[in-house]
Amino acid sequence: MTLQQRGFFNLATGFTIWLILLGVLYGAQATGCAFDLQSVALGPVSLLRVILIGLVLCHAALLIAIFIYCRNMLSAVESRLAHFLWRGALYLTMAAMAATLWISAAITVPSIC
Amino acid sequence: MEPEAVNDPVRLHKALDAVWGTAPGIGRLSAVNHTIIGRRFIITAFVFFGIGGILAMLIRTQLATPRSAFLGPEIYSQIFTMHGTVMMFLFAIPLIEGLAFYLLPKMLGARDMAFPRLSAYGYWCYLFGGSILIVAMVLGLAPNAGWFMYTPLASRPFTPGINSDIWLIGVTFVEISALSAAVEIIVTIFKLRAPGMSLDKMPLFAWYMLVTAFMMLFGFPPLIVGSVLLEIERAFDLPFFDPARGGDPILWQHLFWLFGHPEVYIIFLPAAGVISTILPVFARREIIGYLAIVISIVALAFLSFGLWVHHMFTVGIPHLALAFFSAASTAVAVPTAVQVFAWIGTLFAGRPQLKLPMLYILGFFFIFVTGGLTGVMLAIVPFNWQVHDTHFVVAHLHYVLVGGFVFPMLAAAYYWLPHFTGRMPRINLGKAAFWLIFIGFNLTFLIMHLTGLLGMTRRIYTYDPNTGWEWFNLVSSIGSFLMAMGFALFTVDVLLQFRFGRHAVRNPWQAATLEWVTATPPPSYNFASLPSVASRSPLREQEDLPVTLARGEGYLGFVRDDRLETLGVDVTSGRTDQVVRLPGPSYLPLVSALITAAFFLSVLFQLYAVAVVSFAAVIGSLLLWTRTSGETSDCGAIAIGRGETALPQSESDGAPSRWAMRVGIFGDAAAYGSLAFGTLYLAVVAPNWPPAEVAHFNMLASLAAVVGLVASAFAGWCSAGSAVAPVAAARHRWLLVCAAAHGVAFVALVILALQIPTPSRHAYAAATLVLLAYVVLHVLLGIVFALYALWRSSAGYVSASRTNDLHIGRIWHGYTAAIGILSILLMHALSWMVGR
Repeated sequence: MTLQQRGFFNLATGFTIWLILLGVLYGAQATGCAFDLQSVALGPVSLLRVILIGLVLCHAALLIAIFIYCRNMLSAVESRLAHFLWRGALYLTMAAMAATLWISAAITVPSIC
Repeated sequence: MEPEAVNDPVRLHKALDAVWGTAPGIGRLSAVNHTIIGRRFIITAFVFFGIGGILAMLIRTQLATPRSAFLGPEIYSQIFTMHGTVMMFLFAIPLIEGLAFYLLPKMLGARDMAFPRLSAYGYWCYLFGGSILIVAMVLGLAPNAGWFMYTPLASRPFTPGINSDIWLIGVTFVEISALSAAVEIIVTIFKLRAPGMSLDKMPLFAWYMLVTAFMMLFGFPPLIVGSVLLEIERAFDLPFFDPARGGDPILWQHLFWLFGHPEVYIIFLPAAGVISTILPVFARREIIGYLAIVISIVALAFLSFGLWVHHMFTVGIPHLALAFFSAASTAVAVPTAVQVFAWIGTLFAGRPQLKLPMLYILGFFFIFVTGGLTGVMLAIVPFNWQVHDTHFVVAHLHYVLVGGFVFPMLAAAYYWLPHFTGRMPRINLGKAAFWLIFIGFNLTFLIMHLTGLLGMTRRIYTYDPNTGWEWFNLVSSIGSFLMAMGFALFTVDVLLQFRFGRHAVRNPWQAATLEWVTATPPPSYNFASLPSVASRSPLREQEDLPVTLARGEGYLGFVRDDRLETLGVDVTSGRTDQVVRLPGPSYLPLVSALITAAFFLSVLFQLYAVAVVSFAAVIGSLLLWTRTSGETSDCGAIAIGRGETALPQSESDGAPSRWAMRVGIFGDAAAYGSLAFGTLYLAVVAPNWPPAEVAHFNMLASLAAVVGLVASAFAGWCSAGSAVAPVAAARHRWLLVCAAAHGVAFVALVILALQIPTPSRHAYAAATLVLLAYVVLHVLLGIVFALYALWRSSAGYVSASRTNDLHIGRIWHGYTAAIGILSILLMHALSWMVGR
């Protein structure tokens, strides 16, 4: 796969991870509730909340890794097209990071089940 | 060797038209040309729009006064259900498809779509599926459970007649058209562009359509899966949505809105693409923020798949989940706003002209932005709870859909009518139509927000005189009639332009995109020779482009062996990589669509033996299409004009058919994912679990199924390998092994199916059976693919350099193995989980 093709496919990477996060969070929350994990206390918080926070952190770490990768690629490519695609990939990853922060901001507050 | 160049434009036109043209009379039924199919989609969609509009008039007449005796509750239910169904499934989506089919090849600098027969097949499926719904309505059997078909209302106990079945089957039939269009649009944009048109030089409309097509590919399968499950429940009593037997009516809502929310953006994005195309023309400058717009389109598409639950805020979802989806619903406003600011900025920086299409775009701005703002209000959970299922929501969705789709489409109609007809309006009624529609629309729906806030729920067929809603409803109804007059005037204006319009000059708006390079109305082949593109505004950079291309000075400015040829390019760079040979007119798409209609009608009337035969006949008829595709000899690189050469698609690694299979697999995976999600959802959330009976699957049969699936994938992979593919005997052996391995998997899967408890007793058994049936269907198709490749190979269509048939099969076998193994694991995990 050429650098340009990789740049093109990376347009979708950041938000794919965001979408997976949303599905995983919703699924984990429902499954955790079904298995009563919110009643298992881990110090001041429930096990289910810890799991959900852990999932967000994993996805956030993945997004940061992709952000760094896209930034490095952007500084390495020379052609106009590759620059266009990698710049798009970088900005979309940043937008996905902001969206991740936005949807998971409430994770510590409301009742889970 | 390069064919003899035809220097005379008239001779070249005649030579090209002889091979690209469609015969008159009955021959029109064999049309596959994108201009004709695109026109048919557009005209048919507007006819359905007229029908939907008449239904809206009936609704508003009924609601104009309290206690109206105009319509009874049964008819009223059919009418509001059909209004929503017609507008969403028979008007909006097909109009998008028509616009894409008509415009994309011309904008991209190609001569047709990638799969012209698929376009024609999609059109006939749309026409027949839509006709089933309309005929049912005329017979008084129309669907009547609302356009969302919510269970349990749409389930057999509460809707015992055929009405819901007609919706489920009719809409699924129409969706074949949408899915086939999605695959075709993606492959066309990926592969059939003018040489030099790299992704950063592609018209924004193509970016919008590319993203929209992907959304269709992932958005429609959940609804198809939901519809199939509901139809199975209604026909065979398998309880997917019956809570008494482990089903859950909320599952339907999830599957429906997994489709339904992206659907809103599937409708909006192409309209936004139209605005991004038209607005810069009348602002007389290039659009501001090309990359920002591309980014916002992609972001919008993804975000739109993360909001579906906001339609279900009142079903009793935990607070945390509400917070996730409320946040996602507000976030979607950001990329939408980026586009709106880019358009406003373009207008501000340009020298705008207020021509008729612009007037409609300004109408769009006002109405759509208002609808967007009420959308943000609805994303906020407490407010949503207050106005859920009231007329406030009806007002909001009409502001978004009419503002975000109908106004841009009317702008598009006035902008491209000169292209469509070759004529300009003589008597300009468009302005009067605009004001009638604009004022009528706001009169109807602005006040409807208040009716909703006062508590009027949607779908009620009448109300009492003392509710305080009377005047609001009357004003809404008056407004709707005003709007209807506007649409009638628009129709008259368009017909007058068709019949009496003055001849249009080429490119009357001084646009810069390639569709205005063609003559108007466009010839069957679009371009006498294909352009080379070096910028985003090719027509502005090369003003003599129409003349040079007409003279045959571009690529493929000749006819070779009476074949229909266009160029294929590398997906990102736009470098020429192949000559794509397209099929000519054929009755096969019509025949296949008729057989498909027979299949759906036999399911509707529960003639299942006929349905099985029809399904096999559909597959057979689709295979017949391939008789005229492919080559039986290698020819190497061939001349494409301007001293350059390219391989024919049959010898290219990046043939459109391979791309179509890859893209199609994504859609299939979306359907499979929806099915797996449904199964897990029921297991985790639905009441009355665990079931009384649990399947204990035979480990030997499970192992045999896995071995069969892996072996079929391996054999399929080997058959297309570089060492095997050149040797006929070796590839035949591997293909036979592949088919046999599928056979083993089939037998093993049937044995597993026999171990499932009676599926009508509990959703566990029903879901497991459907999951298994899905894999069995893929395995059977895997046998077809393997034997088909064997036949193609024996008939001489395969060689060391012509391996497309093998590679297409290879993708299918690998995918089938993947979902088969996943399903077996899921079945075992599920029976372990519920059997504990």
